[in-house]
Amino acid sequence: MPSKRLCYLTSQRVTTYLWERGELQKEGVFDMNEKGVAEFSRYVAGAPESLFYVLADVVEEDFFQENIPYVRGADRRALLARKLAQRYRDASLALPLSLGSETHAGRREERILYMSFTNAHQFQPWLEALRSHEARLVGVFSVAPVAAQTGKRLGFKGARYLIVSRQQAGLRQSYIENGRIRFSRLGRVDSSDPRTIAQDFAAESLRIQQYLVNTRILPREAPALDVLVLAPSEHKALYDTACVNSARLQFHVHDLDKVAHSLGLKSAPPGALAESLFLHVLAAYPSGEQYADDRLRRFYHLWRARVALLAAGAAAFGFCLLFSAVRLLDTYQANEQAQNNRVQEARASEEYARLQTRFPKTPISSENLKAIVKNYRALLRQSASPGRMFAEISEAVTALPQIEIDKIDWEFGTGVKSAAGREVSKAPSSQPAAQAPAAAGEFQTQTAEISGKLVVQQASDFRAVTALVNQFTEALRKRPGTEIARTQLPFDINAEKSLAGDIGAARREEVPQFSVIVVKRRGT
Amino acid sequence: MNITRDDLKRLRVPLAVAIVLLALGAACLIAGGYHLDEARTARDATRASRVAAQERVLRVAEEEREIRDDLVYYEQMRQRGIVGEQSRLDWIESIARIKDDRKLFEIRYNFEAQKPLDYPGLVSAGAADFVVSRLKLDMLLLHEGDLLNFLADLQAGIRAHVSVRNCTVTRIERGAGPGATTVQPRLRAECQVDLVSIRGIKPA
Repeated sequence: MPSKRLCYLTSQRVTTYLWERGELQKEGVFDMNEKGVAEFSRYVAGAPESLFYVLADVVEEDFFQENIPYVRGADRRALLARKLAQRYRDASLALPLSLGSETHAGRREERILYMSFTNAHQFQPWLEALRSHEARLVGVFSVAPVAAQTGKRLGFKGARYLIVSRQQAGLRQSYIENGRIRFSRLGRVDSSDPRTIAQDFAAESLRIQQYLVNTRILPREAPALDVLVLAPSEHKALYDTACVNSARLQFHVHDLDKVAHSLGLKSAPPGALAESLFLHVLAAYPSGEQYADDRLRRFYHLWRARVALLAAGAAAFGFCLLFSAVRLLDTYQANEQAQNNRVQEARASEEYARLQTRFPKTPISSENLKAIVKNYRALLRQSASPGRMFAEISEAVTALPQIEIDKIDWEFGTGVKSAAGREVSKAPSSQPAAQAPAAAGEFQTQTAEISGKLVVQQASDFRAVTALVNQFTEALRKRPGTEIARTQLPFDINAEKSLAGDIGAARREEVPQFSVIVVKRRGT
Repeated sequence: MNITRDDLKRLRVPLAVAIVLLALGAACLIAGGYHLDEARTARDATRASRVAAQERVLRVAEEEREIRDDLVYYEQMRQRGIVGEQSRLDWIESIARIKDDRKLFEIRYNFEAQKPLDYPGLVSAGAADFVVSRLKLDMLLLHEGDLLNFLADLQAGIRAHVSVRNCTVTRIERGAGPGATTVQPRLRAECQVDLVSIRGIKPA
């Protein structure tokens, strides 16, 4: 962190201080003349890495409150710039401060306090010296807002109060409303007598109270105004005596050294007055409420951009490094687990090899043996003999002597080669459709097309012929796993087709033929 | 604040440093990610190998039983002459012997060229191939028992696995049978039989 150098500017001189961890050291006093400016320029050149704060404590300061329409963004910026330009001849050191919003006649408005150093000319040589040496100017500040900041840091309770302090520049009275500066003035201190100065504190407080009431900044019916008096330690008793409470004023006399100490100021140059407290507050609790424009603060912005870039780069690098470290840790753990797996696998393999010695000797490798036997089992499942089916057909036909079988066409397998097989493939299966493809390899079918003739008295006795064939097919169907895929009678009794016969003339030479397709699914 | 060209020039070095730091960080991340992926892949692979090895150990008793079962089947195959090269001369002699023993009528046979077995459900068995020779039979029978006995004898006697694929048995009309013997065939059977064997088995 670069060192902080604080320039306390009054109408007589500029006093510079080095602020370091709550300690304030005086470094130089530069009179308000060309020689002083030249010395100040050399001083600035000698501290190129420092951050510079200018705290102005001058009489030529204006406070003006006005309401503007409630607008945001670029419109607000343009409006405020125009207002400042209208009010001040030189608005280079001006600051519009928002005091909040309120509604007037149904229209929302923003209360703005315009603050400006009305004699910017006296700042120019000093600011030019800073700019010419590319000094990092954090800002030009006024004691008034810093006093408000001090009151806030002190935790002073009160919606309206006055801070009265004495600096090298004179006696400063700052009126604070709702924590924001509302008005401030710097008065001269002519006497060096502490008692007189203490009486001036009380008198000036009463005078400014009357001014605030007259200018309607302070409501007339308001209760007694709190006055925070920052009194030098050695003369605090005089201030206690001089500052007597009244109907209009309520004094709170605080020991300046104790206040400074409570806010973290460890040491201040000897002889320093309240400016040491305000300088410390400025350095320790920087506020954005400053007067300089971006042109004056250019090198400070550049420094901030440099710091931001480096910090962002370092943060990104650090984040990546951290994330990489986590990944590295994960990698290490994964490698450890892999190594453990290898060790356990080696142990299991050794164990397996040891147990394998108990296995029976195989004429071929165990993998080949397994594959061959698997195929052999599949082959056995797909092998059959027509014997059983022939026996079943024979048993069925034995009970029906009127039936003579001429031909049995038996086939085994899943392929459709014969006419009978094709009939089977068309016939509905008792198995669910979803199971059929999966079971195709397992459930081989035996198909037999039985062709024969019927030895009956009258070939045209359709009822007798039909009953005979039905008896035969029923006898076959009773066998487990047997289905009748098709029955072909010597005639077609379908009502959609023609049917002819002769009743009464028995002609033995007409022998009715029939055929039946029987299917037997293996595994059923 | 408006950024001028001069401002950018002044910010060149920190910008470059930030970019370098960002690039270094990204490189660290990418390298870390690459190594982590590799380590995880290796870990997953070794885990799978380890689990497989451990499961093999757990299944060792079952595997031993399977091998013993397989050996039973293998011995059965070996005894039935399924293992080894096909010998058609032996087959012809077997058919002739059955015909004589059963006193059968005429048997015509036709062996088709040997080819790989293409039954469904068979898988590649390494160096060993299942091959099939398709045998077509044309037989004259006294009754269907002759056919069934012939097939049973064929399955028992021939040095191959016998798989009957189809058989057509037709009645021969009386007086239309060939020959003039007193006992005439009454049936004609046309069968297709697959003779399966395994070749190319290499000892362990």
